[in-house]
Amino acid sequence: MSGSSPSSARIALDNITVEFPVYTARARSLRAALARQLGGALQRRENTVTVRALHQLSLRLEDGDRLALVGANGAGKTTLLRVIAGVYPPLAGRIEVSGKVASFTDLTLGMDFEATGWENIIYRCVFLGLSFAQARELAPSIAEFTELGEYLDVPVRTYSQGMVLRLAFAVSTSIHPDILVMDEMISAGDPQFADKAVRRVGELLERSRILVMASQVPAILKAYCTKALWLEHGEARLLGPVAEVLEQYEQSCRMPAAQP
Amino acid sequence: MNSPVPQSASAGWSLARALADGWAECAAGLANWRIAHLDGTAILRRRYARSALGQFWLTLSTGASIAALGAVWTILWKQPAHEIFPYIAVSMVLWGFMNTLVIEGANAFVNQAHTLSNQGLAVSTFIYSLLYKAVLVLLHDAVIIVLVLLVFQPPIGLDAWRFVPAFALTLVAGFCVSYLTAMLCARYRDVILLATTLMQLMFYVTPVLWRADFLPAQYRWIIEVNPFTAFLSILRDPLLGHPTTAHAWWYALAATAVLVLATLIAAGTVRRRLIYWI
Repeated sequence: MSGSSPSSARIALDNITVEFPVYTARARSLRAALARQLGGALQRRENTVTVRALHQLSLRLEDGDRLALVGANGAGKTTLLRVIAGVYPPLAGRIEVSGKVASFTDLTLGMDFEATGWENIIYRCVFLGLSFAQARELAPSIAEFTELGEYLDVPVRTYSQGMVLRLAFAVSTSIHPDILVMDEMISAGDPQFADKAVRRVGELLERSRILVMASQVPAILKAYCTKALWLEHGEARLLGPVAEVLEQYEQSCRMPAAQP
Repeated sequence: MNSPVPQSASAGWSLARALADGWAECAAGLANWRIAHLDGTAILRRRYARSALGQFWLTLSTGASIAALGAVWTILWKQPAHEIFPYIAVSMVLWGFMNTLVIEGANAFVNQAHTLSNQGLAVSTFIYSLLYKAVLVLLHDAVIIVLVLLVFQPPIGLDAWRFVPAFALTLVAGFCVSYLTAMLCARYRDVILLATTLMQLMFYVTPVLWRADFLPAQYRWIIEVNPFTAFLSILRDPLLGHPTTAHAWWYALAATAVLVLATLIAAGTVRRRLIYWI
């Protein structure tokens, strides 16, 4: 890995709020925007609806923290992951992330399906922040892990979905991030490969200082995480030890009547 | 990891801050040069993977239209071939370059929506990759220019070195135009179509296929206010051995300065909102 890592990784969110503007076709149009300017203030904002994804959320994570994100669909889990990954700058509040962040929301990002498996090992490594020399150095061991053999010499577009995933998984898990952001546990397909994959993820987690993972599978969260944050409508409902939070969350799921 | 959008606490807008943020954004994109390189060469890699001639197939088609247009000018309108062929070849190739920067700039961010919403990357990375790709394509098309210049031998003098600073200036201005178009099109999607129409229009009012001196004097102002004319002139004249007017140079310099400022301010201002648009 190039560059020097900070001596410790840290995530500090203070009262962050994230809102998504939902544009109608009219709000997407420059012609309509100009017409509105001419038409006066009356209908100025009628075409924009905002959806609040995160509301005044505060969170502090230090070295060694393994945070699970739980909550219903649309509670803001993925948005929070993307805020930490630097995708969405919060519109209000403060954010401080120190350490190299690796975002695993799409493992194939940076790959070119027209290129060969070998080339894609390099492309994906570079996309994850390695230099070309570092990528070439790492390529043989990644190739070996994929067990794709001669397939690595042909374009990735000829691969089956499972093979693409295996390649993407092998490259993505070969890096050394400080902060690891995951939307659902990453894995790679078929049963005989699964054991190897689990071991490799374990090694990756050992190398990373902070993990933030969203998942709907309690067993996985309990196995990998120590803390959990329960999100509801973009707000923090409960933060604490993983077992405790999961228990309460599951309880509330069983009693759908207990809506606030 | 790769350089993400620099994060800072939100506060009110100020010019100094917008400029600083815009500069930081452009610097962060440049730091991602490896990604820009891979993205910028992707299309060319594909073209070469599918055929031995690769990008030169497109160069051939550009060459064919230049040959056809040159023939029309020579035969129908009795222009001397040794003048009109170099003029059209150089003009068409350079116009193609400028056209690409605007038209593809319109889609630069919209096309990368998936990547940008999954990885904290400086958006300017994809403006650099667009510029890089356009330069690589221009290098392919430059073969036509070289051939035509060798055949017709226009009176190129020592002044030809002026092409180098002219090209450097065009790169800076081109980066800014692409970036501004990309930001505008991310927010207002109807501008994507507008950009194509507008460039078609600019093609007709810019002396690409016709020469400035064909225009009656009372209409000269049309080309004098057109910035494309100025850039085309400072790039083209050194290659043809024509003198460049000081007006063209000053206009191109001033336009670039305004574009740089506008780009930095706009990039710094919309930086935190851009991702929500795409």
